[in-house]
Amino acid sequence: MDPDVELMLKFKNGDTSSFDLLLDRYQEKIIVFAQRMTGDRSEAQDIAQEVFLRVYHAAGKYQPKAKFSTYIFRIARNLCLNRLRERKHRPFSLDCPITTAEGRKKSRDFIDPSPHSSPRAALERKERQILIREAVDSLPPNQKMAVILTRYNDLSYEEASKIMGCSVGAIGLLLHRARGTLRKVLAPHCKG
Amino acid sequence: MICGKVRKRLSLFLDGRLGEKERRKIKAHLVSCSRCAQEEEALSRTWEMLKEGKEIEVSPNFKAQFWERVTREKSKVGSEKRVSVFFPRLWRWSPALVIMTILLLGVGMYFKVLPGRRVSEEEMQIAGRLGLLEDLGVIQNLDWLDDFETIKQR
Repeated sequence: MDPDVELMLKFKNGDTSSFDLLLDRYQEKIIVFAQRMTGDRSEAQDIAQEVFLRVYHAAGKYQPKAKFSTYIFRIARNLCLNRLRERKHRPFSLDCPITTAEGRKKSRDFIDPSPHSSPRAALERKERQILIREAVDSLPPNQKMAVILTRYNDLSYEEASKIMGCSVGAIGLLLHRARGTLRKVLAPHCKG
Repeated sequence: MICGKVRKRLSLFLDGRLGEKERRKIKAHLVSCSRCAQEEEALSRTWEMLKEGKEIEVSPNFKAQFWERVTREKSKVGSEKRVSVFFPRLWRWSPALVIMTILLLGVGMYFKVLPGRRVSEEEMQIAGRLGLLEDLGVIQNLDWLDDFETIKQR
């Protein structure tokens, strides 16, 4: 049995420390997913909190029908899509500041330069990072999600297909299309 | 192998999703076709490029914030439960409460109205003299009747 499912079942039977372990194992994965999906660190932390709260409250009715990671990522996926839908209805500016988890405001295009790099190298890296983020953001939602799940969350095609509710073949097609678009935008900026 | 067919399979090739036979065919094609090899190289590099950049940080307070939120929600739910536990009981008693209220009102009305209806012989006589017998239900106060009699006498 999936060890995370076992932890969830233990939590269902009243062992709170099991949920703590699940938090340790999944907080980073869910935050990475939510931040890549929304492009906003503060919103990602908020979504991740909501994801774990839902899992926590649903423990009483939890039935292990799939891997725990599939279960939790499906919740994260739904919450992210809801947020993105809500965002469509409110004005959004590329210049608006991003709030960091520590409450600091960052300009949308600000990325901390490494303290050891030259200003020029830091600037170049910053530009590349913006380019990458914008290229991924510009993908259609399903392609973007397939890229995030497989590339950033290192999930298999099978798991991504279960999370997204589609076939494994569809994931292959989504990634093929996404790669084509990303290649056109990013290849001229590739090193080497 | 035709270039178009190879390019359609490159994404799966790079992710190691092809069978051994097909993988070998594509590999052989890439050795002989520089354009397809360039395409494969570009796709591979852009895929690598995606992981460049600053790692996403998890707030060190994430777990503490989560448990704090759980505690807060529990206390909120607890107070809601306390209210909902009290009110259903009250609701169950409500028919009895309604009947009790009606009875109390009835008794109150009895004691408030009935003394006025118990008109004494003296009041009847005064009211009769004043021609107010019909209004006795309204004017039930002997003092008032006395006053009226006094006024009339004047």
